[in-house]
Amino acid sequence: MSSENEQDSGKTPLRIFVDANTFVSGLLFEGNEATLIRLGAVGLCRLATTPYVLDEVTGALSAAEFQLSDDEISVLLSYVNRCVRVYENPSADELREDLTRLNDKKDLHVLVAFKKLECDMLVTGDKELLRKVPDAKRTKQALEILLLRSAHE
Amino acid sequence: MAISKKSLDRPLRVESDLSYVSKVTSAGQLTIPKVLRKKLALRESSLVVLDEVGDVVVLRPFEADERSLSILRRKLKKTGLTRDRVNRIVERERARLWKDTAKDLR
Repeated sequence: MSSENEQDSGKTPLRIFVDANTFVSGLLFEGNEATLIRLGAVGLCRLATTPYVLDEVTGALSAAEFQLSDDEISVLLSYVNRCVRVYENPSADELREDLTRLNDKKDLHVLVAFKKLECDMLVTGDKELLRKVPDAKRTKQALEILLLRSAHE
Repeated sequence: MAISKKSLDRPLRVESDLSYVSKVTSAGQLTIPKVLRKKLALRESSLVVLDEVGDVVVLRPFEADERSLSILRRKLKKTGLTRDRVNRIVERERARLWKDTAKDLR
């Protein structure tokens, strides 16, 4: 679906690594995160992630608090899969290399995957990632960048 | 039924009211019959999803996904869950997965 828009603009769309909290918010609430996922679906940007992040999304959606049935979770996950390109997880060795970069180790996968995939932007709500990764942006900032970029085309 | 290539310049209804034959162009495009476009509310620039199901490809409007999402969002709204609560649930899941990953890094 994205190739047509890519050809029309004559410019390679930005590659954006999307964190689990952005996906879950975008699926469950209307707002900036939902808009970003939609832009990925129509090819105005290329959303990237890993199976590990999608496992986090699946686990979160399966939480009892959401009261979602298996069918409903499948609908949400198949929507995500149509909007995003899924790349390989970083290896254990690649994770070890950056083990000391974050205080909150559980966010390490996102940092290393973003670096490995050489994406243009990391969209996350995590404060430490936003502070330590120069190209990490909140969803609203990412949308502003995308809109500015498309206005200049 | 004898079908010539010329006769397929426009989609042709075959066998039953539910099937059509349509010719693929050199650019990989194909025409969706008007009756189906109307039924699915497809207009110019509408997006469609192509699902591969074994040897079969199912075409459906992308907006259908959006409709499904809207229904689920309305259901979720009734549970009273906020974005903050949702973020905490994602964090909890991240911590759970990290426990397993951390074991592999030792």
